Amino acid sequence: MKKFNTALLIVFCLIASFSTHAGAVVDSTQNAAPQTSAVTSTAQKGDDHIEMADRLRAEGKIYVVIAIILIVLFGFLTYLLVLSRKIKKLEQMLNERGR
Amino acid sequence: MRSRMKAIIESKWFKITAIVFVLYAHIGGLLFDVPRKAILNETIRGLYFHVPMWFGMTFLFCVSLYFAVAYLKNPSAETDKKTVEYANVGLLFGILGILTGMIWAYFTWGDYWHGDPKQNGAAIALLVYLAYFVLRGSIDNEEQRARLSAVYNIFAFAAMVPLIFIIPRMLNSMHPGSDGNPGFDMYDLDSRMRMVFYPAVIGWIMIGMWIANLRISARNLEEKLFDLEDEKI
Repeated sequence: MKKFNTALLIVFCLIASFSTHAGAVVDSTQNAAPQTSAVTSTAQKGDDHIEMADRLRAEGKIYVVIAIILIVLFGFLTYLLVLSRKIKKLEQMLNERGR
Repeated sequence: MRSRMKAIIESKWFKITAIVFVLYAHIGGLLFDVPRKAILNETIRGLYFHVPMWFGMTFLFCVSLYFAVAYLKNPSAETDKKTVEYANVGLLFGILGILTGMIWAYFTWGDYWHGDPKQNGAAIALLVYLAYFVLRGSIDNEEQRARLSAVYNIFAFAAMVPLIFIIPRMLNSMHPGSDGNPGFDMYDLDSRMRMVFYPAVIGWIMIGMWIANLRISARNLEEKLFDLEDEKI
């Protein structure tokens, strides 16, 4: 029963967040259907019409951006892992002591 | 229920999956192809970060709501703790969502705050949840605090739903998925973007659960320590 409840809760929460937000995205995608094809066809004809960071990529600078972002992310995730381990250790210590 | 969730969240596979998904979202988000849209240009990649914050917030507030209702059915300090901490992390995600949205708005819509219904709605929803914490801070008695804030939590969630999901869609809004702005009222959320977007959402939700779990554990530890100290005295 407990397992079922857990699964149900997780599914409910996921559905709640997905359906409320995804609805916007899906609706807009469907509304966009006629216009999207127009956009993609123009995009295929001349990608230069819409500026993107093509040169940045060609010069490989995108990897610099990625490296920077990953450093920040790794720092944050490492902190999370270290904190996790610390708390686990403290919990174990207290459990042993308490009993 | 709690020990089951705790076991899942603290398991190795959960943490590794969360980390892998978030890393994938960051790397793929920058490297993979995206649709070429006027005005948005490369900022469309912001979708992979801004929107998962809101998904994460909604999910965490749902969990907080669950525990709030659970508290009212079966009062216990433990349940109250979970209610608060999930609301806490949900609020964090919401604030990050608003901030990322503001920066994105500045470069694409021209202003940090556009008065867009979704922006306003989201801001109000966050204020409503901030008031939840103010309410908690203002009550000394633990049981009363837990009970009143549990009830408020339910109302806060009930307020958030129309503010963020219903009203903005009915009004003219710059945000995708709403009536109005023909310039860029849709994202081509084709399979290219979905491939990064969905893992990003799942990854960030998992990270949010992880953080909330850590906070709950830390508070439990605090309490045990206080108890031990009291016993000594």
